[in-house]
Parts: sequence; C-alpha cells; structure tokens
Amino acid sequence: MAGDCSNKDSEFYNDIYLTIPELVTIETHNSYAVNDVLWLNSDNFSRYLTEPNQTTQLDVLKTTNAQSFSFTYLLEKKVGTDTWELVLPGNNLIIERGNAVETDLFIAATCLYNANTEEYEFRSGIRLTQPGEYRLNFGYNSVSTTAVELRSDSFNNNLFLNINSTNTELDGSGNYNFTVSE
Amino acid sequence: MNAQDSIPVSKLADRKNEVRIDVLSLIASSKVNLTYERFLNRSFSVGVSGSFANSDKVNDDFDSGNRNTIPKYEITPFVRYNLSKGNSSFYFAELFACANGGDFRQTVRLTDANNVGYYAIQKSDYSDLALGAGVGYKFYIKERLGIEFLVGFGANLIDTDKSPDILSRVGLGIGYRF
Repeated sequence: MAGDCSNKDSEFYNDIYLTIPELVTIETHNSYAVNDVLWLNSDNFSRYLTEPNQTTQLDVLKTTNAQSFSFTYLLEKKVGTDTWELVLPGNNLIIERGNAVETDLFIAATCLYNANTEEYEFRSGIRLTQPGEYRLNFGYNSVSTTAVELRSDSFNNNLFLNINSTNTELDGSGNYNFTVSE
Repeated sequence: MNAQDSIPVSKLADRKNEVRIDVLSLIASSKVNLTYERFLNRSFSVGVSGSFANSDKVNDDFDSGNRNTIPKYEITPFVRYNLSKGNSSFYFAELFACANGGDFRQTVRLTDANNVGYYAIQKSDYSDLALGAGVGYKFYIKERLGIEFLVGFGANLIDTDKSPDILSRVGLGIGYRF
C-alpha cells in the first residue's frame, strides 16, 4: 500500500472554533471631535471564559498554552461617494495595554497574557486628527463580518483557539461608523 | 518433431512461488511492504502482503495536526486473475481484504480537578477491515525477476469514525519467482 486517504485528513486538526460575545469592545461615544481618541478594549478578558452550551468555564490558557491572542482591524475615512481610504494612524496609534502594530493594510492587535491577573490585556486607541466620516472594520484576515476573530498565538503543536467574538456595535457589513467633527 | 514441440516451455509455469517488495511504498512513505504470492494455475494466484510504516513526516504531520491518523500496519490477503493468459507478461485483476490499524487523534473537552474545562488532544488506536479491488501489470526478466505495477483502492468497513475511509493499494513491486 502506498497511501491512505480520508475525508478526515482534509483539514487542520489543531483548530478549535468558539463564539463568545464582546471580548473586544469599542469604547463608543455619542459624538467625536478632532483629537478625540477611538479606543478598542479587550476588557482584559480572563483565561477562564464562559463557553456557550457548557456547564463549566473554559481555561483558554490550559487549552492553548498561548501567551497572547491576536486580531486585526483597520480604520477607513470616506473620501468620496462609496469611496473609502485606509487611515494609517502612525504616531496617532496609542498603545495602553497589549500591543498594536501598524502595517500597510491593517493594524495587528495582540492581547497579552498577564500571569498576575490571569487576563489577556489589550487597550489601544487611534487619535482622530481629521474631521470626516470614518468606519472601523475587523474584516481583514477575517471570515465573519459581524465578529472580531481572535486567534491564539499557539506554538509547539498546541491547539489553536479561534474565537469569533460578536460585537453589537458593528453593522451588517462589519463596520462601526462614526463622524468626527471640527 | 512437430511445430508445437519446438516451442520452449516457460520455466515460469513450474515456478509457483514469488516474494516481492514494494519499492514505491518504501521510497515514498517509508513503508516496508512484503508480499508472498502462490500461483495456483495459469489463471489464478493467491497471496498475502504485510506492511509496516514508521514515517517521520507522517508522525510530524500527526503531531502538528495536519492529519488525524497514522496508519501503522496492513495485512492484505488477495486473489488475482490473470487477464492476459500470458506467463512472462500479463495484466491482472485482484480482489483483496485488508486488516489495518494505527493511531488516531481527536480533540476532546475535559474537566480538571477544579471543575474547569479545557480542550486537549486525545490519542487512541484504531483497527479496521477494508475490502477492495485493483488492477496491475507484471512482466518477468529472465523468468525470475518480476516487475509489477499495481493500482487499487479499498474502503474500511468497521471503525470508520477513526480509521481512514479509503485505502490505496498502489505500488511498484520487484519480486523473485521460484
């Protein structure tokens, strides 16, 4: 025999998928003015999460051995009818907890594990320096349009935990829309 | 002496046994596959193949989650029918059964002593029986050295939650007939 094949061999078996709401929230305001900061916050989610349809909490650290969870987002500004332009915040990207790295296409966010608090921490903001219509989107590197997709940064054959975290601030296209006034 | 008497009788007809190694499995998947075949008559033969695999690549793929089974062994009795009626080169068809087994992995949700849940990889064994069929072509060099190409497929029947759904029986065999 030269090989054995199976429909059970057609995927990656170290992935686990869960849906847990509101792990990443947008600190929304009724209105925004120039020089305000749009904050994103992981609310320091615990290593122990409430998993839907389970009677016991889930220890995500024991499951993944991951010291961080990552997700991506991007900010766009409206520059014409149905035309949006990527905003690269540069020095206006503020990191308070965890990490955020700007690329040419999106911002890569990392929720870092704090062993003292047993929480994954992230809080980062973008200072809004120009007036206009904006939208914040989590759809880059993402399948879901209405959820933030967090993935554990797992190594050494540990399980990867993919958490679809639904966010009520997002519209049907996965955008948080807001306007910055003068 | 008539014309028929002048045709030399093939020694292959008297050599009823053959042992064979599959070089394709050995090279491609670090699997040792040995076969014994007994030629019953001009049309039928029976045999059994045994294989054992221990490939570092397959083991690594298993541990890293790129596959969920490691086939370890296969014992394959078969019966063949000579489609060409020739001795020194011929096409054949075969039916086979395959007892096979190996390792299986799945992700399970467990609860620790503090009543907190976590997911973990759980490994177990599988064993199954497959039935299948194949076709091939064989020719002999100097009426001793057999070269054989074989393509066949079988389906596991019993432990299909764990075992591979399909077994392939594809090989390039080099045999010695005696």
